[in-house]
Amino acid sequence: MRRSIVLAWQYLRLAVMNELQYRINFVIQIFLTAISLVTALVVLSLVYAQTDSLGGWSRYELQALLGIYTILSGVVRTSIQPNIERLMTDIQKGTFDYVLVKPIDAQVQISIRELRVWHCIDIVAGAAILLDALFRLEVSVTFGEVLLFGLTLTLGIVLIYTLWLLMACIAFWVIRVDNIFELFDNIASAGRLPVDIYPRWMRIILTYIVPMAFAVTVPAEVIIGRINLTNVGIQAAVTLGFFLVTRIVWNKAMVRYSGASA
Amino acid sequence: MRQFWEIYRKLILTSTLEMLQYRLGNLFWLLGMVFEPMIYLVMWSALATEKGGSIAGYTAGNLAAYYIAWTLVRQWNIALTPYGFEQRVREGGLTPLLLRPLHPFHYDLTSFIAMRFVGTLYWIPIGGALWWLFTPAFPGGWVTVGIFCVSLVLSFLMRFVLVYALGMVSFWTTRVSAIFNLYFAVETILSGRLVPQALLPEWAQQIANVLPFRWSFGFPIEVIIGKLTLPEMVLGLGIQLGWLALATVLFVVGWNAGIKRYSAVGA
Repeated sequence: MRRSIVLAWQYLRLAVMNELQYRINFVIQIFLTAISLVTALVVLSLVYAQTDSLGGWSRYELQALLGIYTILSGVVRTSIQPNIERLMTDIQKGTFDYVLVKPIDAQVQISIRELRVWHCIDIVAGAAILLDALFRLEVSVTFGEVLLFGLTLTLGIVLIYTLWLLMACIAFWVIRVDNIFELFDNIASAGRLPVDIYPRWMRIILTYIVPMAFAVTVPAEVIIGRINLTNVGIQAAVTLGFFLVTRIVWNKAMVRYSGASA
Repeated sequence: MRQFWEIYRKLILTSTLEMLQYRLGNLFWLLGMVFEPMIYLVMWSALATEKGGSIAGYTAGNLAAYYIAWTLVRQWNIALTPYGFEQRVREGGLTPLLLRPLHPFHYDLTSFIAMRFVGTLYWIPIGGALWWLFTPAFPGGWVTVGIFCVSLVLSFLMRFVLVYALGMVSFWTTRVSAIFNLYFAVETILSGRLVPQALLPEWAQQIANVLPFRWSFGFPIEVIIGKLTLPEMVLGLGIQLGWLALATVLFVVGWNAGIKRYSAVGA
């Protein structure tokens, strides 16, 4: 465990040093993040120009949800996606061998190798619109709620990580899986709205197959003061379940892997 | 000229057969594209319900029809992204293409036409399922359907050439993501992809009318769901043709100027 943390820290340091060489990318990334945020906020104002409440959510409640969605997708772009992409290339080219010969758990290694530092601007931007929404809602958040929010958000991140890894594991059996990721990404983008406004069949998909309901909606409910402890409990259970299943599938995949060129 | 068509026919045929190999992949890809409009549909339908049944003249049935037609038009809107072209310039992938007997544009166009055939084939069951799930209101009528088909083909051609022309920027700079993303963000809002044009504020509708985006996306949808009168439809087809012509000029000028600067990086 301690060795893994030291290693993660070293990878982080290297990634930062590497990306600091390309500072103009920082400016471009700010610009790109701004474009996508402005688009999202324009949609919000279009909707709420017509009404005060959408499926029981007010404008700034929905903005808070959008902030959380942006934070989570920032985490995906910064860390989860680049790591998984590297894993897929490794599997296709057979360079995954090098991971296996190193004396650290393979799953830990493949999860910490890559970091696209500039994408963390998305995380900052998401936090900013979340805070803005909370100020406008004038909710008084207690310390306990902040803790619970932190917990549910972390669980959401872990859940998304396990989903990505689970899909990547398919690559050990079938080599071409890019389309599955595309499908997943599209379904996951439904997380921008609270799950309860979708029709039943979409709710089922978003709860049981691609559980964005738990990753985004639950933390949002906590922070805007609609805490539903049952949902929090289910979120924790689902996350743990997916985590264990992923570990089992991962171990099976390790047995299955036979190299590409060798 | 006849020889030219013969080449086109053969190229389209080979690309079609090539694409039919990846059946499962294609299906996943199309299913993914269905999710995006469902988000918008749910959002605007919820809003229509809050407003007592309809919003800016769109009932829930109209909205369902809009976003089901959306999935087909989106399918026909796929073009070689300027990112793809930028990668060719940056990594030198353009070099071997220049050695082939026809202009690279023709190879790209034929493969994307083939993709439309395959995509439409896959779309049929998906469109049917959506129809069953959402009960849309389509007025029908042979004239409408005919004009829709023509506008669909024109929307594909005009967007394909326009986006291809945009890719020519890569000859001058390879830091293009900012330009392209801005283009696509404006397109998302003003084309009718995110929201039917009638739901935008008045001034935004005015801007959308003079930009190309609406004509390559929202227009065919509005045709098929019966929101336009016959003169409006004919005028729309004319505007599409105008944009196609303008895009072609932009592309030819951009290509001729740009190709002189191309230095075959990495080859």
